[in-house]
Amino acid sequence: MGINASVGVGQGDDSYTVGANACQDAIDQLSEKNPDLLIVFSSVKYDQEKMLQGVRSVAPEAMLVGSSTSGEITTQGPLKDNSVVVMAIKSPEIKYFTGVGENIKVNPRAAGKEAADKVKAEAGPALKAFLMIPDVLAGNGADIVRGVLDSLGTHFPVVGGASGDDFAFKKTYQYLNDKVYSGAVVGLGLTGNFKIGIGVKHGWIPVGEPVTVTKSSGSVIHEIDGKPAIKIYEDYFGEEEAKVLRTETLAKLAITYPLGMKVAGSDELLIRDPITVDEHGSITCAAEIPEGSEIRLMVGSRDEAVKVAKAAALNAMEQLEGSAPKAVIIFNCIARNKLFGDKSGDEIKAIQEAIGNQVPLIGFYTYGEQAPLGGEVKNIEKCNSAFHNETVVICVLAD
Amino acid sequence: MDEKNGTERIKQLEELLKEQQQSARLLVRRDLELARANEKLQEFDEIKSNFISVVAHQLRTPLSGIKWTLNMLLNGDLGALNNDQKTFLMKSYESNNRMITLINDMLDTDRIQSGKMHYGFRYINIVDLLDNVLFEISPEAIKRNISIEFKRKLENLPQVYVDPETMRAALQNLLENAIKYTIESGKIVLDVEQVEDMLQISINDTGIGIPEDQKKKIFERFFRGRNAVKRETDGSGLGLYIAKTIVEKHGGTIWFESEENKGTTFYFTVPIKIEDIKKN
Repeated sequence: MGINASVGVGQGDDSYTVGANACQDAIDQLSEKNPDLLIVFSSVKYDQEKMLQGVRSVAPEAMLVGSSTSGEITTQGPLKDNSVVVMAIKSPEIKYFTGVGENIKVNPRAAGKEAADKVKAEAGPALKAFLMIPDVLAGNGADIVRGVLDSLGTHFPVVGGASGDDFAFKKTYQYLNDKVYSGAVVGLGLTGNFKIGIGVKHGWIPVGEPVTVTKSSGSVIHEIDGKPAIKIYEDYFGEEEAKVLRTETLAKLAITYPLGMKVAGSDELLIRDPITVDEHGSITCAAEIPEGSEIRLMVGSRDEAVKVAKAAALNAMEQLEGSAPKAVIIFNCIARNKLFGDKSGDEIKAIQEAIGNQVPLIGFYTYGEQAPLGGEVKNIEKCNSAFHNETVVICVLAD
Repeated sequence: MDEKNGTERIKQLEELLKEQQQSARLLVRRDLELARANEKLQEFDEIKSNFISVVAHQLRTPLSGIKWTLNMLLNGDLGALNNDQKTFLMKSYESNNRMITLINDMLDTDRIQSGKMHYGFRYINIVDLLDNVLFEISPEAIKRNISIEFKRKLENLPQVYVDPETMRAALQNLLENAIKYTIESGKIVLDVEQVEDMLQISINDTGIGIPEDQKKKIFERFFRGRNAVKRETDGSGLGLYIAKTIVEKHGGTIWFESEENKGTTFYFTVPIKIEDIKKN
């Protein structure tokens, strides 16, 4: 008796009922009725407290982690209507440990460390994998990952996705058991006899000449090639579009044109999302780009995105060494959803071609992803977990 | 001389780089224009979708009311009817039903196109589902003296992984078509067999067939075969589009073999429960 997983969906208007329905739907499909773990992803359309109470009303004993999203994904593909989705997992072979780190706004690194420290203290040295759900609207995502690694060690497999809020970029939520947090990072540690496969790829392509970040601090790029950072977008977008760059949320306009920087350990450039621009033309990204970095403007293509999604899924499958996949968790960037438009199902379908369309699958569209560079987990010395943007992260569990 | 060539070459490369950078800008601007246009189209599509949905729902309610009233009249609940009255009321009843079917097809198509068709996959026995659909459509077959039979006894078939609701709609569309386009006293033969890790379902009819030059278009929305239109059979031209979308969403494929005036066989596959693949 190995991993038993199922996925439920709830839709409608009443937050409590939708939460309860989603959880009940998942449990109805589970051959054993008392799950050990619930993973909950919800639209911010729902009152978060009431929605979570609804979920808990059905399974009060299970451990629960979750996040608000910018779109939910299940075995059916991406859901077009606002939903609550729940994955229920039961396995006698896996033990779960949770922790939360708050006040990302004050110190993101400390928050990451706090969440991981709590998990580590309970799980001990047997800790095999760490899943995290941070709020990156509150602080530098790369710093949160750094904090997690301060606790777990430099080379440790971390996966996760930053909470969303239906593309509003205002406030996101993280769930742990009965409580809804904001500005926090929730961590889930796994120990036991199971296999994990991680696939990470983005498929964005650089265009134009490389430029250099000449002044930056944390996740804020002040200058590129000695000029205000926003010039890079003004230059590429042209005058007409450039006018709205300063009036609208930069992320809404530029999310499908991110910045890429070269990093060791990955054949792809590491992507950074531009989120906001200030009156001086400084760009705040979802994570930092260090001073001196050589960066490129990136563009996406649907074909390439589908291709790499399948490649990432195949990478994850290889790591299972022949074991049958039992559950899939996807953290997929909101930018990819925007790139695909109404064809976002193509990407999930490609992933399912590699893994199997009957394997229970849950996921959400994120504001940033966490995973080892290049999906490297086998050679632990080369496993460098990082904060990604515009990337699809596929985590597959098997016995 | 060499130095001059070198300087010349550097100049050329600088020019090339400038041109390349200019191309990159143009590429991004064009991409941006297309993205914006696409967003606008999606907005329009959403408006269209909402419009269809509102109109169709508003129409469906009174049509259901008419159906209920006609049903009462036909059953004699409001007094006995003479033969002429019965005949005319029956025609109204059938026309009303056709409108309901058309509206349901439109709603299904809209749900498919806007990605709002929901699939709740379960493990089921496809023969049970098939029997269920047959039970519903058999009155029409009996009325037209069309026999429906299975090619072989369906035993020990593995379970399939489907959404029962939508798979039922796909089966119903294919079977209704088979009845609709089969001439009176014709025959429909059904078969289900395991082909590798899929169950293959076939529906063979002795109907009017599909004209050779129109075979490519048969799964397109609103397409109706020339001979189908000529026979004045009703249809929205949406049924096969809906069936194909549903089958493909299940990870299966759908195809057909057909000869005009002889008949058509539609085949489609659905995935078998993983655990059952090894057993069979």
